[in-house]
Amino acid sequence: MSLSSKLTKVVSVAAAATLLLAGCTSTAGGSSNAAPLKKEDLVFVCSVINTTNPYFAANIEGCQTLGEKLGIPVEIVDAQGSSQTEISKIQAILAKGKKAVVFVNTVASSDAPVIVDAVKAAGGYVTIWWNKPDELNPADIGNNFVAFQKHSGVDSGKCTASMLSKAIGEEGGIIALPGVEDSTTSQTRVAGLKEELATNFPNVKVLDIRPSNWDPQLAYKNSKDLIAKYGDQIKGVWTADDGMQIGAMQAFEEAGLLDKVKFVSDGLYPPTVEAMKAHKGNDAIVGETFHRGYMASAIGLYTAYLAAIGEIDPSTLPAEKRDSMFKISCVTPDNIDEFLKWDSDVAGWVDTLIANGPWDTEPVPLVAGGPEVIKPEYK
Amino acid sequence: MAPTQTSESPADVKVDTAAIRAREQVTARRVVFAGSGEPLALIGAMVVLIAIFSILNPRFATIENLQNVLNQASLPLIIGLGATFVILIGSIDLSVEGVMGASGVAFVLLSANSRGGQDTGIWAWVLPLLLAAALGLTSGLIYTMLRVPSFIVTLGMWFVGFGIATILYGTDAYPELTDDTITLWVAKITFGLPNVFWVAAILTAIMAIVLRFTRFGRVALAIGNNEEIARSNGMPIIKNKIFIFIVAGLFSGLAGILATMQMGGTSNHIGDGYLFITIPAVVIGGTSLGGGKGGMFRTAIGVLLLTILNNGLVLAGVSPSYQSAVSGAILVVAIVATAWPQRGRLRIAK
Amino acid sequence: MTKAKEATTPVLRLTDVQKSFGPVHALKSVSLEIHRGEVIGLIGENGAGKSTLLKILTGIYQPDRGTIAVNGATMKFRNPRDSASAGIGVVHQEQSLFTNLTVAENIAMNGAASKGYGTTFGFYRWGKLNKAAAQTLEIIGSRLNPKTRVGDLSFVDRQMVEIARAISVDTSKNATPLVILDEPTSLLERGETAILEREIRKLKDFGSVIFVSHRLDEIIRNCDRILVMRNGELVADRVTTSVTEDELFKLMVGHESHATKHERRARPVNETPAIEVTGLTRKGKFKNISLSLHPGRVTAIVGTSGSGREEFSRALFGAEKFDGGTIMLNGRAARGWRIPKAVKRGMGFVPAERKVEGMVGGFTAAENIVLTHPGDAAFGPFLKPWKRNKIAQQWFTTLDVRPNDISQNLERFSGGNQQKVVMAKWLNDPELRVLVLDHPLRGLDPGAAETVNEQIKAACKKGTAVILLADTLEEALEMGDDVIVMRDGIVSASYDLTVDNPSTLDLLERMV
Repeated sequence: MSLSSKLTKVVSVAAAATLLLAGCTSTAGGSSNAAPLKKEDLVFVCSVINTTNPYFAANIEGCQTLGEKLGIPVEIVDAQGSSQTEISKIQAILAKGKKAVVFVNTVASSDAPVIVDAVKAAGGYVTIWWNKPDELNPADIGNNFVAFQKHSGVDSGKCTASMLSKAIGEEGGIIALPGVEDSTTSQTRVAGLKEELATNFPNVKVLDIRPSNWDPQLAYKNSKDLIAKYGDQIKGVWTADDGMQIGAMQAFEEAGLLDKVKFVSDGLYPPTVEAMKAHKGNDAIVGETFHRGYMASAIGLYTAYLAAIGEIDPSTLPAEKRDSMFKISCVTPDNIDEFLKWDSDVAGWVDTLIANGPWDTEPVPLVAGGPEVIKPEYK
Repeated sequence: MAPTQTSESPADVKVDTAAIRAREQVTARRVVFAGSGEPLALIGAMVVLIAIFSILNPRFATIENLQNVLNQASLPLIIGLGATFVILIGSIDLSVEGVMGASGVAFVLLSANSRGGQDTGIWAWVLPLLLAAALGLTSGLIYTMLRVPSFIVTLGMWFVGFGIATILYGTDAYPELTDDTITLWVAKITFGLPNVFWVAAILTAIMAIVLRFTRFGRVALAIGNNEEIARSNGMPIIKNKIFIFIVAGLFSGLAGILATMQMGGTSNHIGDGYLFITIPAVVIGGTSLGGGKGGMFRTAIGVLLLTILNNGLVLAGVSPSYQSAVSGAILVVAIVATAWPQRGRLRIAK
Repeated sequence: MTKAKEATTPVLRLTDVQKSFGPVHALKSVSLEIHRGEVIGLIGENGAGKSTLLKILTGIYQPDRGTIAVNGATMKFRNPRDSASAGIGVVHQEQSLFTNLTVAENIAMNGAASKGYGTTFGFYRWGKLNKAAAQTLEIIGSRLNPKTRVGDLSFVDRQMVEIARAISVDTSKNATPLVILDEPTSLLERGETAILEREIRKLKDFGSVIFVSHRLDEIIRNCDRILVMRNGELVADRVTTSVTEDELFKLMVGHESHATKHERRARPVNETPAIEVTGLTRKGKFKNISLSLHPGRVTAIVGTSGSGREEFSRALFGAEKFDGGTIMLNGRAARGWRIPKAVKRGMGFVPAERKVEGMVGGFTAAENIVLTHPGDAAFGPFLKPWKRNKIAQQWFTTLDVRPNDISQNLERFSGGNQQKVVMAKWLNDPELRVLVLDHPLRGLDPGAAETVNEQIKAACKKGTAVILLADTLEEALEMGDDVIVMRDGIVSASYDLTVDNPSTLDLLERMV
């Protein structure tokens, strides 16, 4: 895993360097005041990290639904977890000549500049979701890089921390299983966890933090070790996503502790929904967050589309609409049905998006501008 | 008919060949003991680790944690048995993770699962294992018939396996096993040990017997020692190699199924990370990457050593950021200490 | 002997066997007969066709023309197994045993290829296997434990296993196995050779032997009849009792031996020794060794394996460490002794493991020659290729290296010619003070051996002090000015040959 990701990094840096060089020579031609594009010339490009993860599968669903509504063809890019695959496939589509409106859920932050430059050189429009380097600002690049968008990780962490603390009676030990250690998403969620506990729940103590690389099996292994280490001191388990929660719950189930320990996590994946609805382990899962892949991709694509056809002029937009954070909601076993209703009518939700615009659609309106800063004391 | 004896130089008659021979027997005996030094040193290293970790955290040496360690060591051990065989003939199998993914996804889809699939009974086991064996067979055939290095073939087969897993998985929701008796079977304690460890232990014993007592095993050792000589002796080299790759595929496939049972469901990524636990464990156990030297119990020791190390560091409270550096450093020390008696310049034995 | 030959069908008869590789006639037309109970010596220089003949007998090559008959029946050997099942077994020069398997398994290997030997449903029956091996070993008088791993055996014991395997070829079909010994003694110490020779004589009782060796004394000692090959032809077939070493040499090489007698140089007084060793010790290997070597003198060190002479000579060159004692070179103490320093101070080392330690096989011969001492070819850190080639060509001419092609990779030359190049690498140092030679003649045919010995003598004349670990005691006595005998890590005797005149027997008594 580490070897292949290292390799990917090297390759993508090399690719980035090449493209930056190419980009330099063509910047002169790329104008920020290009005439609006015609709808018939457009193609939607929807790039995801892989196609099997429920979140990314939802990304694709959002792109396709929006494409149908607007009558624009959609091309899916499956990066297969590799920056290099992602970049080369996007380039291949750009080279076909149609004007591309692009949504990218980047594999790694370092992919963003390369993709942005490639889209700009081809005269397309792009919105990046979740990962980009801090120093890459849409406003600096021009209108072709329409926006960078995400949900707040700190809010997610705060929300789950608060629900877990309340569920265990506001005191006792918990363990935390973040994702890959250098992932911004994971870091911000952990920062939210720490901030919430420090501010509102001083008696809840984090016994151990073990990064588990978004990997259910590693989360399982780490949970087993931590159970051996702390035994029944563990009252609650915080994981940075639902995949790792599956592994952690399995470990506690095997140890016969599932109905004594509470779990929270981010994502509300289908297995989590099932478990919550079935009241698994005496309602072991006490808190989740709500944000959806189809909402992210539809918002991203629609923002870029509006820029492409000239409905909006990115250069005149306020800062929070170029670097944006959308609302994330806290889900409990009690209010879960309120949120699941959105999933049963994706097409209907996309209609409201088209009606209200990218920044004002419930349940994910724009709430703040980026970039998201982690306070040093919660790092 | 008997020809006259040719003249003998006086030296020949007088040389006390018996004395020379006696001394050589002593040397030979000494070497026999030297040979067992390496595994003993590894076990010693393991004992030292256990002692240190027990002092750092008394919970380390509890029955519960022992069961936990054995549970965690089991899957790498099962994969390691196949990998050891492959490495003994001087080849390598990198396809582990892909094969695990393919068999894991196939298993979950053929069992009663949350996607609504029907339980196919025994076929849920047979078909994934056949798939894994077929992947191994393909590796073996390409490796032996087209003479492509095993490194390349199995790297390709890794992605083929992963591709099959991805296709089988499709884009539907994460499939979970709905039968709790299956998902909890793996870690269930029987006679004091987790079921999955019993599986691994029995397979280790079987493979050790295969290596020690069957012509298949001995021919594998011969190939690893010197393939050229093995060929000129008319040994069934190609058949043997292909069969070894099938066995390695089967073991990876079984590990994929067990990992899926353990997780209660699977994605195509179920095998991720196993290759880079297994190969180092095999090598640390003392199976030489050059082939011909090593064994199944050595691999078991290597796997246990690595598992204990990682478990102990968590229990000792080493910060995750330092854990990989610390475990790497301890490993290097352990390996150097183990190899110390064998150091000495590279020389053809005389 | 002659009468017996007429009376029986030959075990092996070759009639007009020919083999060509492209335009090269490796075997022109060879016909021969071997009878039961005979030990045949086969000699010839490298390239004379010996190995081609052996490969035809063992089924590795197929002859272009001619017939092979075993016990009167004409045979075709398509592969090594055909040859083995006809009763022909080989003991290779480079041992072909599986070092990680046991003695019994290795002996059974010919059988392991055939069906059912010692196994039931693919499972070994170790008891049966070990018993069969013990029986075979008994035949040749060896008491090795069949359960021992071959890798743990000494070289001579491995040779025994090879012989046992060779005679276990297929005794069921053929009552008279023919064992080919391909230079079995070239890597053995003197005492070990004696053991092996004793065993070879036993083979006569139940089979025939073809014995290939470069050591003419050995051939004469062990064989009934000697076949000499030159240029792909059998040039002589002599009964041993009627030939001498000199005659054989002439038949092989085509000219008289012009080996000059080594001119011994008396031990000088009041001369700074080239190298002086005081109390050199390495725990468990050698202890308290003191000696001084003077320019122009050869010091031969003899001893069995385990005597410590190899470790000592390697320690002198800095290739292995020592625990105590001092080494003085030209009156200056050697500190932090390592190979680079030794080389800088004018030492050279020709190792026994030529292919592993003595040469870079993937480099050309020319590159090997200027590897350590580029001489005139050096241009700062660079090499002038034309100069390099000139130097290499000179050495090729002086040493008669064949083929005369300096641009070929060294690994493609024969052993003798490789050794010449390794020698040249050190001789190219005009200031060579000490040359350590570890078995310099190992595996060399007499022609090449003669050239190497001439070069040793020439180096002495120029003032180099030589340390020689000889293959044979005869070689030590012929080449040495001093002979030092080592046993169990200490010097057990030392002779100044300008004064003393020890016999080989004297040396042997001090060795074991």
